[in-house]
Amino acid sequence: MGEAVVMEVSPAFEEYVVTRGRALWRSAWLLTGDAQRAEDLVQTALVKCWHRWDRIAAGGSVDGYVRRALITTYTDWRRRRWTGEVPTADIPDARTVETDLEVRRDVLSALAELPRAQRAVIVLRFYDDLTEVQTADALGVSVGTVKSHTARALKTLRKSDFLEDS
Amino acid sequence: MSEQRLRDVLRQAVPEAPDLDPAAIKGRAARERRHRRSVAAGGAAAVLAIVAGTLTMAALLRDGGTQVLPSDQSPAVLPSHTAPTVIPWLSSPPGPNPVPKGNAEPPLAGQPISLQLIVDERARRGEPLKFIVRIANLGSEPVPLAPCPYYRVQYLPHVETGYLNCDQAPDAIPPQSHLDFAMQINVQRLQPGIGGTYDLLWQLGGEGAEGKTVRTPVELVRTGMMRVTVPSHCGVLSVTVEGQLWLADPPLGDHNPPPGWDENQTSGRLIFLNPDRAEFHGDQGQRATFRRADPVDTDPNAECE
Repeated sequence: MGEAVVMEVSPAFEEYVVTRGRALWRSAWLLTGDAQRAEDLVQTALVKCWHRWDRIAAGGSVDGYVRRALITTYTDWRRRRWTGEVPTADIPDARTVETDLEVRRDVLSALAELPRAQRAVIVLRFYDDLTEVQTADALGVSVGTVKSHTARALKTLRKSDFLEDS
Repeated sequence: MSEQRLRDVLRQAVPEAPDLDPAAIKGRAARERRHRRSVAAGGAAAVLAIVAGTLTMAALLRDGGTQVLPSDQSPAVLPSHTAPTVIPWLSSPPGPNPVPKGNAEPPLAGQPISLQLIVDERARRGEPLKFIVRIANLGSEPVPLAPCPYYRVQYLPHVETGYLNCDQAPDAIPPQSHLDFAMQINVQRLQPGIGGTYDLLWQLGGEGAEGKTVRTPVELVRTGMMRVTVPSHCGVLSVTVEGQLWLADPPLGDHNPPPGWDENQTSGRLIFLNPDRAEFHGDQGQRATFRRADPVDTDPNAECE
């Protein structure tokens, strides 16, 4: 238990990246819909945090800070027009099960119908399982805004052709 | 769809995550920090020059005053575009914009090729960034260049499209060989910025037919100050420069334009004192100080209507 407390209060940067990097990447993937951009998003957020790591770690809520940096970076990227980043040397993974690919495609298509803020709320609330208060903190908005974004996003997703109940 | 069903679907959709390398992230952070320090040196020098009155604005500003201090004078190392193995850049793409409408198969789709960017110079605002794209044939059969492949290239928000210079290239890329094509893209003059490292992206095809893509970081030469427009309608609260939010420190005005500031936006110069602080000199003598925002800070002007 003692070790867990130490880790919670002040993880070293390397330790944090190793233990939490994959989880951050998964959220980033849902936000961006692209593996390369997800990695870029997580890296960019972590680079920003690394400059202030001592302060962040001393503050205690490392996860909350990094997540907020991730979301802020994602929001800033709204100005970027580039949408077609495909790593040149990558070969599609033929082992991926076809049904997973279909689900993946449908989920990304449905999420793409959402405005950026609503998409972030959906990912934080229903993938990261954050509370409304935590989501509001991550987005830097009020709880009321989270509630309205959630309601609108769910309404859109329920109407989406890509996420029909099967 | 229930909320639980949504949770399940999201979890099912997410692919396996890669491992992140802390060393790579720290390396990138260190590179960015080094660059920010060099920016600060340029900015501080610019301020001293102004205060001392040793330089006039006419001397400081270049190219009609729309752009910024030429704060780095080191000569660029140009790639050897004239080498016989490099196919010259095709400055006038034949025909209209080659990017097709709707979905189409990208050029060289399915071919065993790899792309590489060779960039031997830093990007400078208002000047073309010259580089080479190397297309290598990894297979055992020639890769034909017909129909002539088209491409899209992006640096900062600026995108250009064109065709490869097929007229001066062989008909095909021989197996286990490569062709080098000279390329260039204009670096936007009006895009504000203080320098930094940004990805140069080059893609076979374009929107609707996105083919193989390659990218590489290219340093944008720093500038010590720049022309900006600061929102002042709800007071002087913040300004965003190339995606980086700067917060007024202290904020000015009480939710209204401070005396002497424009009703909506106030133009002037933003002078970078160090990586985290900048000073705004308005055209009508307005003054404000800004600090670089933390990643978690939100833009107070977002609430301004």
